[in-house]
Amino acid sequence: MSTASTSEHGGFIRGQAGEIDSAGAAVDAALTRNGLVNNLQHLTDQAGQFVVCVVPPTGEYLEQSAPSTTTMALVTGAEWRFPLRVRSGDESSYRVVVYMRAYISAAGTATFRLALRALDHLIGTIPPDPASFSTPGVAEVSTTSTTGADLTATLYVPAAMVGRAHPLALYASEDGSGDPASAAVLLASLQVWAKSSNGASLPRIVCLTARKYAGDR
Amino acid sequence: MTAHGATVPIAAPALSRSGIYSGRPVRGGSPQWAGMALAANHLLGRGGALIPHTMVVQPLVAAATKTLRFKVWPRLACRRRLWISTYRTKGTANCSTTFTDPSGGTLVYGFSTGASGGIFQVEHVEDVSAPSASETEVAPTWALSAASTGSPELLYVACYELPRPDLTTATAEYGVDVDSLRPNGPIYAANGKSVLGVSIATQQAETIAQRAGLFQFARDTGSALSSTAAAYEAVFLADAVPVLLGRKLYTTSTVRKLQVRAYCRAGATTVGKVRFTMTSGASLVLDITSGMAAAWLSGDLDVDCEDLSVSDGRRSARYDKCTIEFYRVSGANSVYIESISIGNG
Repeated sequence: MSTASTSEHGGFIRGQAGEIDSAGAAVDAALTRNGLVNNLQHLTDQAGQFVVCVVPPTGEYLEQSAPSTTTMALVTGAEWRFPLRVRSGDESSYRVVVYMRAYISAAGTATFRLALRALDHLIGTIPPDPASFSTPGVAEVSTTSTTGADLTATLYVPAAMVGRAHPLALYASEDGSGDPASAAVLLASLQVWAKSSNGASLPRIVCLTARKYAGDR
Repeated sequence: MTAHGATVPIAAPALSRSGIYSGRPVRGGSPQWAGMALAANHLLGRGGALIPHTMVVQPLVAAATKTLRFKVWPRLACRRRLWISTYRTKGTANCSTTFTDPSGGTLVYGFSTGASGGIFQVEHVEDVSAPSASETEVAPTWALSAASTGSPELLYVACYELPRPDLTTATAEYGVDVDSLRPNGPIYAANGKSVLGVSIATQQAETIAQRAGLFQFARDTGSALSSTAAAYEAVFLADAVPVLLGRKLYTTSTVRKLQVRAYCRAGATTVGKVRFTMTSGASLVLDITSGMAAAWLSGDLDVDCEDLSVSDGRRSARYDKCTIEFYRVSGANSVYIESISIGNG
């Protein structure tokens, strides 16, 4: 069975951790295993956040400036950056589960390419050729619906790419010295590209959400 | 390594259950204790997504500052926030924008375009002036300098808490000193240290490591969404509804209660309602009272929580969609929505 759970019980066990809340309290195996190890594992499994929740106001769509039949063109404004968590164990990123409500404006097939990549220091560069993306950071979904279809894909940044995470957040260290310290952040970018089988029909997205998920182990 | 040693790792370590069996002593400072401290620090210090990218579509006009209000559920330990503003140009011209974060920090960003429809993502780090763990309103502003000849739009806004490199072991932050859990070290009880530190941090993480923001939407006062409809009408396009999925907390949980906030107002002697309806069946109605000045309305809404036994986490193989509608119950004027915030799940 598919499972994203690393904890023994698949949920937080209430009350157990609170039993070790004073000096002299006993620390036994059940308390340690259920109240601490299990609970920390479960909370880590569930630490994913929503990072994109785009619902266009009336009159707006996520669409191309003109239909593209041969080359994937970036859907206008469809790039979003966010910090991404790193999983325990294999050190790949948390999975990014993307949901889209999309359709094509007239007859034809709308194909969307979703691409997730880790960003390096070069912020604001021209988006790369969509053909340069490869799994597990890319997926294609398509629809012929002219009214709306639910489309979904799950993407992630492999461990080899996570190594590009760079220190972003600088702080004064908590040791009182005032020396700077930095926390590494994996900054990722999600982009959407599209093409149409019909040069007169526009692929359109009317809702897109992306959430982090621990993913299968 | 700091003197406190409450390091926040980029990934929580994998924790082993081996060696923890009934009838055997739990060794002080066995390897998993240090791992537990790191996992707790990771949960408390990595930060949440306060405002997932939201589409606001706000035209910027010289000398007319745009203020957007969001309700957020922050983490006390996170003292820096990453703001991302995405601008779309209209026409070919020069623009100079100023973003002012909720703590008063500013970022002046100028751009010049040769074509309409250029997209610029601009990042800014806020030093949070008054860190807090309480639900609060943040109201950043965007302005266009009078000298700008262009007329850009603010397309998207996002805000993420940035991680801390380390935490204090004070009770406010609940960091755990990893050095106090060295293998074969003694077990002892002290705030932020050893077994007691791990215990308290784990309990706190249950609440603090929540799913901060699931859906945010905001307009400035002048472009608030309005309705004079006599029956519920959709706030967004008929088919454009956010999908929500809460954190699964307990073994038997199937739903998660989220906090819903809506910043609304009504014209004189006018009354309205805002309704949130989930595919899973739960709903919430907020009342806009007669002639109400702009204020936050609040309620709770049950949504599906994640199912960790399936590959994409959806429960019951469905998308739990949140349909948001409003209407004018009575009166001759309009009812307005400026902001919607759903989070703390």
